[in-house]
Amino acid sequence: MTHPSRDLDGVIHQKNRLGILAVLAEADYADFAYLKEILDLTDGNLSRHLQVLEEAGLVVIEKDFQGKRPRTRARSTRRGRKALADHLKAMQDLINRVNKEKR
Amino acid sequence: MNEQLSNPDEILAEIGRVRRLTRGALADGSWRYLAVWSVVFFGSWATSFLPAGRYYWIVALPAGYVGMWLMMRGQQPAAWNRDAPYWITGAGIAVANTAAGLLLPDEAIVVVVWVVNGLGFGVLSWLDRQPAASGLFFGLGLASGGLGLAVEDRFMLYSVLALGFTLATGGAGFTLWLWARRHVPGQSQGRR
Repeated sequence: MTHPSRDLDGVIHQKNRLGILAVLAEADYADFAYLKEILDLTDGNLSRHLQVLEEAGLVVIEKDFQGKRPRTRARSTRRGRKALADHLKAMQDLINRVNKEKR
Repeated sequence: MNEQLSNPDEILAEIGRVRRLTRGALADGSWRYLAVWSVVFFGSWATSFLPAGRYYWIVALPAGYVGMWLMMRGQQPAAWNRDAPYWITGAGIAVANTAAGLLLPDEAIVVVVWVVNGLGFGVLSWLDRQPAASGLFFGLGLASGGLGLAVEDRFMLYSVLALGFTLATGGAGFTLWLWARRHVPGQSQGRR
């Protein structure tokens, strides 16, 4: 039996990237400004995290216009949603194992 | 957020917080159409006592869609879902109600319209990730069908169900509005 920590995905193990995927698990799209505020990140940090997730095929970044204002939005891919679900399950397994060992 | 994962319990709690906030941001879109349809349903109750009430939906249905468009116009949502499933569901409600109006006798229409509205709003609330509201509308839709089979005075039943749907959409819309005010960034203080 392998240790549950081996199932944790290195790309989304980072807390902010996990947060981005969690937002995109609830809504089909999230505005860049919303992600920045809810995760308390700077423009540069958020861009970097989104880039890492996009390169891994977990999110898609799209640019469009809402009226005359440019807008950057992110959406999760099917792979991104599965990666988040798998990661959360691995974390829960890890917690359960730690709690079991404590007893 | 801290950069590195340290305590899995804390991380899961933080993920839960982010997901709740995002559902709250989605609610900022949901309350608007519920408010519009609450007014439309109230109108169906108010006109149910008038002879011309039978023509109410011919005017109210397009008016509801226009009202929804006006309420949504210019909104800059923080988080949102794809439009297509909503428009497909809305069109499904309109087509089913119109078909019922054309094909069924009056005694059936006055019940079928509420079954269709209940199930339709149940789907819309499900798309909004609002399971409680979805359950409420599905329950109302099914109860409408059940009451339609049991109650003989269908036109009295129509009025009662119109009032029930007015209260349900109004109550759900008001609750989601309160929730959105607490959760949408920039609309409240001391969120965290």
